[in-house]
Amino acid sequence: MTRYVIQRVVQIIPMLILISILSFVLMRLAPGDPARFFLDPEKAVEPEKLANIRRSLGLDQPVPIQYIRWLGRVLQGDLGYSFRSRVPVAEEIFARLPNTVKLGLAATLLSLIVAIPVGTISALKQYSIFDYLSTLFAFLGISMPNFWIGLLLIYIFVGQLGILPAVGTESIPAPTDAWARFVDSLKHYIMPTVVLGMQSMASWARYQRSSLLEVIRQDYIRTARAKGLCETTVLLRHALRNALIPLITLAMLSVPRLLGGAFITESIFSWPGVGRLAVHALYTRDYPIIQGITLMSAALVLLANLLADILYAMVDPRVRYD
Amino acid sequence: MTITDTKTKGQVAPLNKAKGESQWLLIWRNFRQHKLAILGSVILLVLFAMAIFAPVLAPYDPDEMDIKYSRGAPQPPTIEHPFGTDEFGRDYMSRTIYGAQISLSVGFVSVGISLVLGILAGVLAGYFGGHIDSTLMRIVDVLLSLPSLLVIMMVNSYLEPSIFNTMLAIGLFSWMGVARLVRGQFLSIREEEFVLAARCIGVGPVRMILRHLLPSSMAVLTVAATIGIASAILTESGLSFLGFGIQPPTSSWGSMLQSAQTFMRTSWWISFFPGLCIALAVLSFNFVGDGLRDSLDPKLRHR
Repeated sequence: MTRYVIQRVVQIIPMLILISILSFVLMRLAPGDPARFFLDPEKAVEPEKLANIRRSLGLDQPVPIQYIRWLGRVLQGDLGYSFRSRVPVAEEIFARLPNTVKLGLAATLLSLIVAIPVGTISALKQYSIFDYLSTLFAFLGISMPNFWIGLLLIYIFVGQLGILPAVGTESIPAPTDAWARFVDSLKHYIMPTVVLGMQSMASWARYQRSSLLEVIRQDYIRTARAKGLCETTVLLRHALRNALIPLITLAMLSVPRLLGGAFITESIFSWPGVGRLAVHALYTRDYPIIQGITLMSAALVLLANLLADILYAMVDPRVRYD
Repeated sequence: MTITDTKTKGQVAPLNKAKGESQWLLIWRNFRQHKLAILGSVILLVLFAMAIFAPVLAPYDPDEMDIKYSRGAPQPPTIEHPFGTDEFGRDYMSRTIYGAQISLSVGFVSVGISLVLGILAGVLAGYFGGHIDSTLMRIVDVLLSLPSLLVIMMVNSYLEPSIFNTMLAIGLFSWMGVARLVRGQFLSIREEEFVLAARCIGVGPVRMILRHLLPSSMAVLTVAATIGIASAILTESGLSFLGFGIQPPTSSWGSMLQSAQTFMRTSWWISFFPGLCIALAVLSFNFVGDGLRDSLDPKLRHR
């Protein structure tokens, strides 16, 4: 077991290095001389000043050395400074991370709450009207652009009915009463959560359906029935437990991707999260922030995959002797 | 010698081929039984017709503005403008019809690019195996962990905004799935008897790949391509929606949705029609892909 863990950890290190190189290269490919960003773009620039700034930024060194120095800073947590706000990138990201995390978790939770029952019932009543309808809705959910649904929801609930807010995490000024604040939060969360979770809701429902269908055909289920267990027990104690494992893994693996920021959803609802930060940074060509988010997101996904692999090995002994 | 015949009523087409019946006909027969796939194909035909015959179908010129009519705000649907107009007075139905051209072509070309890259990578990894395989797969894993939308937007902001650059950017970051598929196919076919037989008679690598290994992957690749087009259309519309894909005044459905943002609370038709088209296109491609997958797999029985 420990050997497997060590093996996987060792495998990840070159991939992390590769990601850092990729991020670095992507950032340097950006047009424009980074040194100029520190100067007033309007005024003419004396070549001496420019050379000084370049030297202070370490831009006169050969590129591999720049990479090493950059990597050293990153490993200490220094992701550079935003071109626009001069605030450290790490600070900008972490200030907004909680909002993105909350939204991502809410969406994942909602998707699970919807997908598991729907998928289960579809599998149990295969080919029924429910199954047919849920398959149709699953396809719709995967195919419809979620921002389109977002726009339509805003039209209905904000434009026409006026019962839900369109912007941000809470109203300004926030209501003072704790209960009112909770309701207010709920109102702010519900549309973005639905929009963000729509696709996963649909595909996980399909996934759960096929997973359960496969499990039900297994011999041990037949044994359980033959033993005389009632159908509910068979379902809950045996079938569901095994069918849920792959789905839960899938759900867990999708979370770090959401931490990279739900760019589109956060943009529509002006959600103060990492995604909106990234989109703004792209508009204003604020490359340090973009690079920081890319790096963080990719590293998180890799680490989450590693964690999932290790957990899987702990749970399923067959995996260890790969 | 007759091939054993597994005629079962209403299910998979019988396996015994009458003389002259090609494999494609069998696949077609299977496909025909998938109602959803047929529906998808019909919708796709309509959308294609829309794109190809746009100059004939569109009642107005999509770029023709009529500010006097619109007075700065989008106008609701009327008999003259069945889909309404946007804030510049441009007929929305015409814009939607012309948008089909852009959105569909971006979908196809992006998938084309990703197929080329993916097949190349998958063939190299699957055929040669060993170190080449593990290196390539590590690269694939790393690329898959990048937040694709963000990176595509980044790349797009470096290049000049053009339709082709958008196609390129999308294609550059979607080849990984294809590579994995091709590699998986190669790995599973390599030990088959017909491959070993070909190797025995001395077939070289190029011929082996082109004539023996790749054709067996065609089925999987076709399905992947179809679903890939659906995904590419969605990605393009997301990109254009955020402003990093197709730029106005060229209208793809996604960029129309982007301009819709200002008026989304008051004018439902601005968001509704382009999004509906995107949804229909993606849905149809998904249906067709699903139907293809079921009909190409000889083991699957359609109810």
